[in-house]
Amino acid sequence: MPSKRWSLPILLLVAAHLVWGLLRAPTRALVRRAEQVGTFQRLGDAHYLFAQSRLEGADAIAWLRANTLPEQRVPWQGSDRGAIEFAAALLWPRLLVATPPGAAEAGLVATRTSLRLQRP
Amino acid sequence: MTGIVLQRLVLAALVAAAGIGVVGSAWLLAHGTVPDALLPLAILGGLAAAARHRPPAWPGEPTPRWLAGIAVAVVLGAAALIAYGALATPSRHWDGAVAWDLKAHVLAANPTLQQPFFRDPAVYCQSRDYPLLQPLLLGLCERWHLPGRLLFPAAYLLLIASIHGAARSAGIAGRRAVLWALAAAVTPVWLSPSAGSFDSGYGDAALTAWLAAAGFGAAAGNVPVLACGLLLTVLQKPEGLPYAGLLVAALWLHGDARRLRAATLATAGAGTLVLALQSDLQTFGRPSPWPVLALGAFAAAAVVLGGDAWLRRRGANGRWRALGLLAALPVAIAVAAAVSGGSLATDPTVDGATSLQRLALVPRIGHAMFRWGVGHGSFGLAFVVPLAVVVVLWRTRTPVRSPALGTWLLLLLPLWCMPFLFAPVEDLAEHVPSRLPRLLLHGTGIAWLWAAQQPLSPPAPESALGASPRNP
Repeated sequence: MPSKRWSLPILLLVAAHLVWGLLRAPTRALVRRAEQVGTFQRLGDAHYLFAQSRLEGADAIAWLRANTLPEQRVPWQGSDRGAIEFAAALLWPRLLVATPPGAAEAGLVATRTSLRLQRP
Repeated sequence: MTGIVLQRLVLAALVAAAGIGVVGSAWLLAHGTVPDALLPLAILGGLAAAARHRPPAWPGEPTPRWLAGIAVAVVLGAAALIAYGALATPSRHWDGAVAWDLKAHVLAANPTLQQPFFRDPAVYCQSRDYPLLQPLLLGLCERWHLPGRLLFPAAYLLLIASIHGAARSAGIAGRRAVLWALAAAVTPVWLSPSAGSFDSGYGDAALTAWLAAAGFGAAAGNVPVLACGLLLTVLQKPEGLPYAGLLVAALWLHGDARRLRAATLATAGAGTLVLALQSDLQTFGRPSPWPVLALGAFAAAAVVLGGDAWLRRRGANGRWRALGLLAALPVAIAVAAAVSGGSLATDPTVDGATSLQRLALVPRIGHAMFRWGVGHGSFGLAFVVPLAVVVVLWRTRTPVRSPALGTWLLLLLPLWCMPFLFAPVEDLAEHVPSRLPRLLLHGTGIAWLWAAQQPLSPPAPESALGASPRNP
């Protein structure tokens, strides 16, 4: 029968994908996810995100969170890509406000891969 | 009965999400504060639309109860995994944390653009001009103290329902349709906890679901589902507008007036909204040129629909439609480049001439696409199966079901090359692994959906006689 002859390989491919997916799910979907969640909860958001993205500066975020008010604006300068992207998210509801290079008030100095505090 | 309930649930979810997207975006554009009542009203609207909806019962042999039970258990189990990953922590990957989550928090605190985060140029805001559908959906749920991140497993369920629904609407027997839906449901990239996956907080997985919903609507001839799927596609991410435009092009090529009308008008409406919002965000709230954008979008829609009607009256064949599309291509590219504001290109400093020189990179990009799509474990056999189906259809001379969806999928391939043509050359090796998997992810739902619909054998003579004359 032409129908079976041609549909069988397709159905076998679909079944192979299904079996593959089901076999991968416990390790890749469940264990890896649980590990990620566990590490995130253990390290905290800033240290987890910075470590995972190979960035430095999570301690600066922790310091600013502990020593500034939520409604405060945090001055920053440096690269607008990389580590500063996380700073904006992790410091919310504080807003990051750009300052010119060398300004005395700068709170955060960013490179693509790191953040550091600069106190006047 | 189950099929009718499923189709109504899909429509209810889509109408509610699209209602929030369209009304909420318009409200933001008007510089107002989106009212909290929008969420319950949108849900009521979705339920009302579903109650009024009269979807056809699915033809073909129904699914055995035991198999349906297993399938539901597997799919709900997978959705539970995604829900766990989504709710246990905030986003654990780059874009999810730095862009999507942050905007959701901002809009949850105050659902308006009239605040320093959006209006003060000195305030740091990553991807300032991105569409705000997902942050708005999450933010509004959070304002009602609901877990907004349940959007992610819900999008996954919608995606599986769309694939199953498309297969069943095409007359595929219940047993086989369930096998396809189950296989799609365990596609590794959909279940993995990596960047771009459902619970990563990125916009890509939800975009995959909206695209599949639009594909389901196009395949089943369900115009409300098609229109809502496209509205959400355009409002989700900048890639959504070209994706919707390509579905319009595919429907144009295959000459289906009803679906073309729905897709064109939804794309024009959502396109106007998303581009106006983009302009507003880029200019920190200067008066948006929405009347000009609306005029341009609906004039283009009128040309498409008028051209279709004219060709239909003249009984013109596909060759004329292809010529019409080719003539419109330079205009579409020019308009896309003019309004994309850098979203199609990753490096705005790369000009057109340089991009043309970079056409030499297309084989390299094509090879990377093949390697990731077919040879990489993330996608399983999601792209291999449709290729095998094409071979079987060709060898058995079986008419293709939903050829417009197949054309849509093919048209996505050149579009996926575009970001790499605009990227700095030296970054290509780094850029491909970070961007390409997410672009391919967008097409996985459509690929499964199209393949699941195909009959894999020529119709028997008696069913061929009774077959529907057109099935785009």
